[in-house]
Amino acid sequence: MRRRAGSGILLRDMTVRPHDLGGVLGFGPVPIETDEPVFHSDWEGSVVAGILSTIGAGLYNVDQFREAIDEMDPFFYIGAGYYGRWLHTLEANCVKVGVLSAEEIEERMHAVAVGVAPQTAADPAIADGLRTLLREGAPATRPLDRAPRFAVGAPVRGRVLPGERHSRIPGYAQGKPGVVHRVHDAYVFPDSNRRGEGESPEHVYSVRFDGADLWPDGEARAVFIDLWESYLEPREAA
Amino acid sequence: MTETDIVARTASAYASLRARAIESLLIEKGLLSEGAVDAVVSAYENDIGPMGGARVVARAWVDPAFRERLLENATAAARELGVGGFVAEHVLAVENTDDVHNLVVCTLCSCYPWGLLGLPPSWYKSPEYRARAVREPRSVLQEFGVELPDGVEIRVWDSSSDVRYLVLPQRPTGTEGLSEDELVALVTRESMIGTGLAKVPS
Repeated sequence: MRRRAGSGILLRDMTVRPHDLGGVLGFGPVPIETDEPVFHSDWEGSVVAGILSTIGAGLYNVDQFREAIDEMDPFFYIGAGYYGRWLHTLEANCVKVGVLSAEEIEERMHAVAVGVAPQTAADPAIADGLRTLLREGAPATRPLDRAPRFAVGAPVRGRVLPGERHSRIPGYAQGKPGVVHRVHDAYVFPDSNRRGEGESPEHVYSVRFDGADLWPDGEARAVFIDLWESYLEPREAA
Repeated sequence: MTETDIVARTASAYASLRARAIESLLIEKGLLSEGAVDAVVSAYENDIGPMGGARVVARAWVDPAFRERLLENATAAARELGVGGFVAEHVLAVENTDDVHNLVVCTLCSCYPWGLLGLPPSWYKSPEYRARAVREPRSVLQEFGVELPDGVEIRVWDSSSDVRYLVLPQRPTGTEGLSEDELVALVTRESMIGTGLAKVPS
């Protein structure tokens, strides 16, 4: 199999955080597909619906959905593609909570392949529930009676979290100086939510990083990243 | 077919079988239904897509008060037009000007304002875009055919939280006489992510 450009970089930098792609060198031109369909294969829509309905049923949460993707083998992560990663996390989370077993999935694959999978009557309430979800959304903001720690203009630094595989602070911002650009509302904190330790809402900040502080060879004048309060520490202004 | 194509087809065939097996099991356990799959597919193929965001942008071009509300609270402003919902609960609009060009990416996964633009296109989800947009946006823009003057400041927004971003592109010159509906047709998906500009009327 021909290796994708940059695979050497992937081995070195992505073993721990394969999803943390910002700034990774070695990738080629962006693959632009003109007039592409919404779904390229029938199974992709099935996976999206399966994710929405199983998260909606409370079997796992959106941060656990992401966690299972981030735990994938780096080559599998890249090779599986977007909906392949969704299929992986759907299966991993359903198996983890005991709704599905690896054995029954294998058995059902054989049954589907030879056309003897059982047909079950549909429950219309599930479709109605998903239509309502798409229409109304599911806000991630939470009330918080604590004032934001940082104000607009505050000099901050992205925390270095080497042991945190799934944190939502990109590696390229860790240890880097920035300035608070905007104070958002308080949101569910992914790091506690994925552990099942509660939503522990925190304020989120839009932090402006000077492009030159991120990469000497970079082209962006500024990169803005949305970061939870725990991902930031104060610093002395330069 | 190249080797890469063959590998991709093989992976998709395997994923298809596995997805159908899981779908069958979830239906059996009362967690999914064929109607639910159809509802989701139909929603994103027919109802929720870039046309929603395009209506918001065109309204902002013709209605200064709406533009102000959009820049203040894009979630509420889009809702005025019946646009929004799932994965558009917390939206910020960032405005392109003669001096500033905004570009949206999600380096950690592929976060995208579904309720405004539908499901993300393949290029947005590609490792190439996710890796390069933050570091070499000017080169990425060139691949999309966008050449910005040297003086224009490029601001990249990495969607790392639950906040989603909508780029408010510049209204093309020479469109003063167009109706709002005609303007909607000029607003491309790429122009609302920042990898394109609004179309110039032919």
